[in-house]
Amino acid sequence: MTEKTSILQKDPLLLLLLGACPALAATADVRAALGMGIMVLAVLLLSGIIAFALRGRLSQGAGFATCVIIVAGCASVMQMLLAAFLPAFYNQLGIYAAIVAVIALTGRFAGGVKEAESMGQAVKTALTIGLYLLVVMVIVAAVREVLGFASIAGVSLDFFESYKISAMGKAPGAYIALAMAAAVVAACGSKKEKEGK
Amino acid sequence: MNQSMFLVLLAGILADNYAIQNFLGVESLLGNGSGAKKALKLGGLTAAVMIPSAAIAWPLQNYVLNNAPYLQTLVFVAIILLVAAVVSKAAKRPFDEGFVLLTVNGAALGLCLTTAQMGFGEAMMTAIGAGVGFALAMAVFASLRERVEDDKVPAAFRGLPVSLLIAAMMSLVLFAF
Repeated sequence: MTEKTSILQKDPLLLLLLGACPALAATADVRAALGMGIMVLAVLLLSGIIAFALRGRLSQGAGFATCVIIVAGCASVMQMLLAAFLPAFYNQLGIYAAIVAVIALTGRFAGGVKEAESMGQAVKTALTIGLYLLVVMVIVAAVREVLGFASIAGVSLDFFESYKISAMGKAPGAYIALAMAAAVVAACGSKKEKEGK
Repeated sequence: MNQSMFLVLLAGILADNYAIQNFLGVESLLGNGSGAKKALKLGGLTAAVMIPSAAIAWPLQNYVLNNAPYLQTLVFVAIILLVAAVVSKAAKRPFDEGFVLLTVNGAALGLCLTTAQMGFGEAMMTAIGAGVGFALAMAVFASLRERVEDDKVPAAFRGLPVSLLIAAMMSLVLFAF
């Protein structure tokens, strides 16, 4: 596996940084987070496979720009599928359905995966990265939805109604919830490192 | 400039800031480890890509892509890449992965997608506001990040978590507008 994609796999905080846009934008609702996470996973898989298949034809100089175009093509395909089969969800995501085309995570993954040893390894890395981001996004969305809207996946939770923090449902809440998730990831990482030593 | 256009410009810089309030291109903001001056330069480069991209995307959307909406994302990304290549040449910077990741981001694509639905005057004001707002957000964020690094931050919060908390504070401030 190439250095770039192996770094992506080994550094969960870097993954959160590169995938920060969808992790912040689509986490006000668990269903939106789940859908966006699946979309990112699908784009990673599709673009990874195509970039790997075309690896011999990608020139050295404009290689990365070509990878961005490949990712944009994959994101367009996913957008069309969403608009055709899940129009309500497509409308809920708005422009963020298209933004997947240019988030740093997908571009950097497609740029690095062309040097992978095999197609299987490229697919495995895409799945690992995509599933990790999906899980983090759903957890962050669950926290934000409970605290910000007193509901979970659209089902209202009466107990939390009097304890709602409206900011959690808005931009500041997204940053705070993701910061807490990143701190937990960092703490778990340093604990593992200490145990390894 | 009439009052409503001035408000559109101001909204792009403050209340509707692309990076802070809409999370568009937020990776460039959070991942930038340089000082305020360099961050302003990098933000300026991104703005230099965002504004012409929106200016090119608007007529393309309104005269060509309305008949082929499925090509919108792909065409807009291609436009942004082309503008980024021109800007990299003008700024005498290599058109490498780092430059592409900085300039071809969610802010540029989000701006093209949003402004394509507006009138041309409003679209251009929004583009200028969003570009200036992005550059300012980069500089202010870098300046705050520099100051916080000197303080004693708990180990688990060093790096990305504290950067996100700074962004949360900036977002709260912009909320007031």
